Amino acid sequence: MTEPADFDIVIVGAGPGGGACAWALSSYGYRVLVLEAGPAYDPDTDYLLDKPEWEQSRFPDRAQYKGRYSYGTMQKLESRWDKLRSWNHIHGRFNKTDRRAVFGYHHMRGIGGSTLVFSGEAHRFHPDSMKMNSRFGFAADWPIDYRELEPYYCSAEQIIGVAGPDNDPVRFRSKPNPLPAHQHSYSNMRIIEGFRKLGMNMVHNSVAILSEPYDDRPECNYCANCNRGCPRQDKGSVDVTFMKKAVDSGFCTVRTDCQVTRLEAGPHDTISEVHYVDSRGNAESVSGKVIIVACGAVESPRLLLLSENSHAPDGPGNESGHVGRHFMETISWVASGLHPEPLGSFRGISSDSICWDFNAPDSIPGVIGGCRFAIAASEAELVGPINYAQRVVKGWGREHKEAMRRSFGKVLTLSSICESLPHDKSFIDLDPDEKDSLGQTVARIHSYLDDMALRRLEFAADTIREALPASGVEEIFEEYGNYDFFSSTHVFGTCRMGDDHRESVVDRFCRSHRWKNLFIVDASVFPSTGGGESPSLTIEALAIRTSEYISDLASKGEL
Amino acid sequence: MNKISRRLFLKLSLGAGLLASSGYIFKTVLWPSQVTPDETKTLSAYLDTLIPPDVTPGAVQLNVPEMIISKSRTDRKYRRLIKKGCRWLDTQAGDFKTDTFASLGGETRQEIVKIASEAERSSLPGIFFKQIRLDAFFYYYGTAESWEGLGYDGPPQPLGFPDYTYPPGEIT
Repeated sequence: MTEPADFDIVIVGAGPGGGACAWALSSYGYRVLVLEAGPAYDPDTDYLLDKPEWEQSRFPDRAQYKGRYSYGTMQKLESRWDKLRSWNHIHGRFNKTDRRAVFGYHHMRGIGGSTLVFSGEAHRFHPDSMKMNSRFGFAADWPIDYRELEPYYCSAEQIIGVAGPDNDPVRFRSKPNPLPAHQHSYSNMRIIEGFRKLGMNMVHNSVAILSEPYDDRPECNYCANCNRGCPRQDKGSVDVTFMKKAVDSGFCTVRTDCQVTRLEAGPHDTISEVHYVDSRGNAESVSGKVIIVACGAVESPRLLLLSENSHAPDGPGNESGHVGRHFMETISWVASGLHPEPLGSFRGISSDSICWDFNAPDSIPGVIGGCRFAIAASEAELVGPINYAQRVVKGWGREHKEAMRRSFGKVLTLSSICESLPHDKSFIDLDPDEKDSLGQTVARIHSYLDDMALRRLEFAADTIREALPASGVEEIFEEYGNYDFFSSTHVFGTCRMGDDHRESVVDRFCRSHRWKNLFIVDASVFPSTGGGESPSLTIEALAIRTSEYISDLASKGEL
Repeated sequence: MNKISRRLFLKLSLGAGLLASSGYIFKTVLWPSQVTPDETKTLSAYLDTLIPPDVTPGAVQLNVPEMIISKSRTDRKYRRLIKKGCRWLDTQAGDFKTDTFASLGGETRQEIVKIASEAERSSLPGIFFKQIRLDAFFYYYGTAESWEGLGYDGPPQPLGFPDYTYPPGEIT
């Protein structure tokens, strides 16, 4: 059944890209429909942080909404990189094989997308990271520069309520952050001191977590569990910010539990319909003057590749053959150790401090691509008694209970996220042998880390191995990273933006080079990843910029 | 009287053997029976050795055995591990002239748990120890009664930890 063309704009996906577009375009008065594969979570009733069993589950996502993916053969592990193997002092090596294992692509479906479980980091890109090809000969340049994006960063920061410093020497800002930075926690002061001893700088992190009441939302109460869903709604996830405002405008309709299965490429270089399966299993379709795809760097290329037809034999947008290529992933290192003093390190925001000293693409000696260091007890799930009992405190019996009492709240954790650069062996394609619950071919993830990536990771690991002892940690008890496991939350690059239609999928406004009413607004358009910046704020800024462009085109009658 | 040919006899014997063994396989491997009351006693004694009562309750007082058995009801591999693990514990108890692990004294139980904790990781006692240790802590520390003495005023919400900039316990 085809619905009447009631909507000006159809958006596929309600994460940071789709949500920010929904807000911007509905605020212009366009009739917007958002199709979201997952549900809408209710912070008042769905989250578990006020229950004793809170630690027994992470975000309470529902099994039926988990995406299904397959993976290409992962690379062999080499003994020369053994220092990058993941381990724990109780369990030994996590990956006991000689081949990189798959822990997964951690995609979140639901209104808000991955921001439902993000730690709130709201980062602007390092300007040099947007010119990786012309400056360093790697990846591709962004067709826009930082200054073009800057006003849209400000808009996004205002909507989500960013608390952070205003004195970043590298990232020019035309407006201050809407809220002051959070104070450093008592435990994190140890790490800040440790970095200082090493001649490095830990500074306030920029986060979409309210340090003061803002926009009818309360300030944070520092429970350190942003990734389990924020019941207070002080974390600026897309569901309680962009999407709420979009719906409140009266111009935005949201349909949850609707899995888009195909875009219908039609004549005249336009997408004529969006096909989807609704919550009751009915096949539906809808049309719009503009179609915005915002499903992330794995699902967006999948949808384009699944949409091949006679008008678009390789899938719409794939005229260059670049859809699915240039896949870039999360390359991170996390290490934890015990401090001798009681710190209450289960308190605070997820990450109030960050070190940008090696964030620029040329700042790590002998390596191209930067990294950042941040405090990460929450990200490492070391903020509750269960994880202490299982991972921190050895043994069993009476001694274990006594050691729990001596150890709880003393863990310090550091993480590093590194630049990921494209590699011919890292890409997304369709798996001919795997189908999802709707019988649709699933995306297959191919990932490869080359020597340059591993040297970046090695730098991160070595630095953390110095920084934790400098912070007073007596013994590191656990380290894990992406050398021996594929495990990604941030993914990029598979629908690259660029000015040259032969080398990219979308143009500088995220519009398909050929399909004039098709836009892609998620991290799949990123030509490079940055040196560890969390991507959601940049996705939102790009989305607001693209929405402004769409409105301009519409007002000129060019859509 | 008809004679059964040697070939038919062999076929029937083989068939009967397969039937018998398939029943055994079905029962012990594919679909093991639920945890029995005797196995529950063994498991409870084991869990109270892993997490004994002291100033805070032990595993049994906080219903950890019930939670683990509940998990095993819908997970046959897990159920099989529990049944085999309990059998191993009771077999070990035989070395101490007793039928069951549950009837042993505390120190002897600890000796046996120590053997499991030091066993090869891929052996039955090694796998049993590692898995039940994880699950016992998972359920035990998922109860507020277990947190006394940790300096933890959880759960994280609705109060949060607004004292996060101070040394723990300085502000109540």
